Amino acid sequence: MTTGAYQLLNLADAPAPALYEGKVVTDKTFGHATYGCMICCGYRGAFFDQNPIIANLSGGTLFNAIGYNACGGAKTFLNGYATSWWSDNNGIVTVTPRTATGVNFGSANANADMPNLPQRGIYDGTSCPVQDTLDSGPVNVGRKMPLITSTCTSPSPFLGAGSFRLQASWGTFGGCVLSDLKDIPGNGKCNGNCFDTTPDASGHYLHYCVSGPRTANSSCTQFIDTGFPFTSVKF
Amino acid sequence: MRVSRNILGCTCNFIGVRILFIALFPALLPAISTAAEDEGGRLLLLKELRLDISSPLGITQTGCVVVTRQGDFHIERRVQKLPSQVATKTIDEGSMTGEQLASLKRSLDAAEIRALMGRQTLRTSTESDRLEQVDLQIYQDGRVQHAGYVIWHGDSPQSQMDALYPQQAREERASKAALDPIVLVIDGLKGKSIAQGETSQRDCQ
Repeated sequence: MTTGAYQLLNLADAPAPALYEGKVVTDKTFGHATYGCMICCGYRGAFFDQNPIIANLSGGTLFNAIGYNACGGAKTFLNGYATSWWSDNNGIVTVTPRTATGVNFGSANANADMPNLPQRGIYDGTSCPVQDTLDSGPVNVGRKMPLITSTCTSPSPFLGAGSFRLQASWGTFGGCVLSDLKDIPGNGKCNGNCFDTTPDASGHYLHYCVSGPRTANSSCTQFIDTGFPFTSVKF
Repeated sequence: MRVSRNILGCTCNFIGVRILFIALFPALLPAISTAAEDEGGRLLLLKELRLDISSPLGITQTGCVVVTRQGDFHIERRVQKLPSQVATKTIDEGSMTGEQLASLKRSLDAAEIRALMGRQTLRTSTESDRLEQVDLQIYQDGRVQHAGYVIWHGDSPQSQMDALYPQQAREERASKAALDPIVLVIDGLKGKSIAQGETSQRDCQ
């Protein structure tokens, strides 16, 4: 091999990485190593992995600061670059590194400051330019509701043959209870309150079940989280 | 028409003070408890849940009713009909007639209701597609006493309440039969609709 490229990634996503040179062993039998100057891959954009972040009054919600790698385009955690995390309204939600904790029902913004975030562009033989970057996103604080019960119907009355419907209720008795449904394409049959797809030639199948919890607004009239939660496990 | 909001609000505030007081002076607990019930004036609190997700047009209903010893009532209800993801919330307040109140008090004091007090209800099932749950809290003799029931229908023959827990299922149905007349009266109360900003959800807690 005379030329080639490889990637060197600091897994600690630290703000001041010490990696500066690359060496790769190309022939372990007779001994040959190739040196080359590293080029810099910064990040494009910085945002939170949930938008909005859904928090509740009964515990912290984990979230991450992420961005796109400028070379490969992959989503990458940027938490290590953030030196401070805060909420713009501590009466609604408090924010500590990677965690939002509801204080009262309502909405506020979470912020993470990354003063030395390597930026876009590839500079052969030079350091990545850094820029003070503010990651900011909304947090909605609502009521956390555990799963009460769920059912499976096949086929889905909406999608017809080759589909199924998961229907469920979340909440607590004496408090807030809401229901929701999800129509999903798939051949197979209900197995209790879950759904098993028809096994393929290798005998593998997917097992779908409703999961939880969910979050509702303060007056308990609708969900404020995004999407019907379900798991699909391959067997 | 009398409005019960202020009376019920006082109950909530007083409970907070009472908890603090009890923590500081536990020996005074019995006297304080009785005084609190008298001052709060609450006769009963009814919590209801009815859900049916056995059909594409499933319905989820929750309700909470407070009735004071003077006959003032506060009712909160939420109804959600699938596939809509939004529940409609209504709040009503009003007053019972003297005759209605006297009849209700007699019903609460009946031997078959007293016999239900403190009975442990069956747990709900995560595989039920129809569920009915009622908890009636009666403020009597300086104490809060519970009577209630849970009835659920499994989504398969193997997951039916009657098949899995035959003895408890009979007890739940007997409780429902005893409580139904009271629940029917309370559910039938008609009051004046209250805008949500005008009252506090804590009234029903």
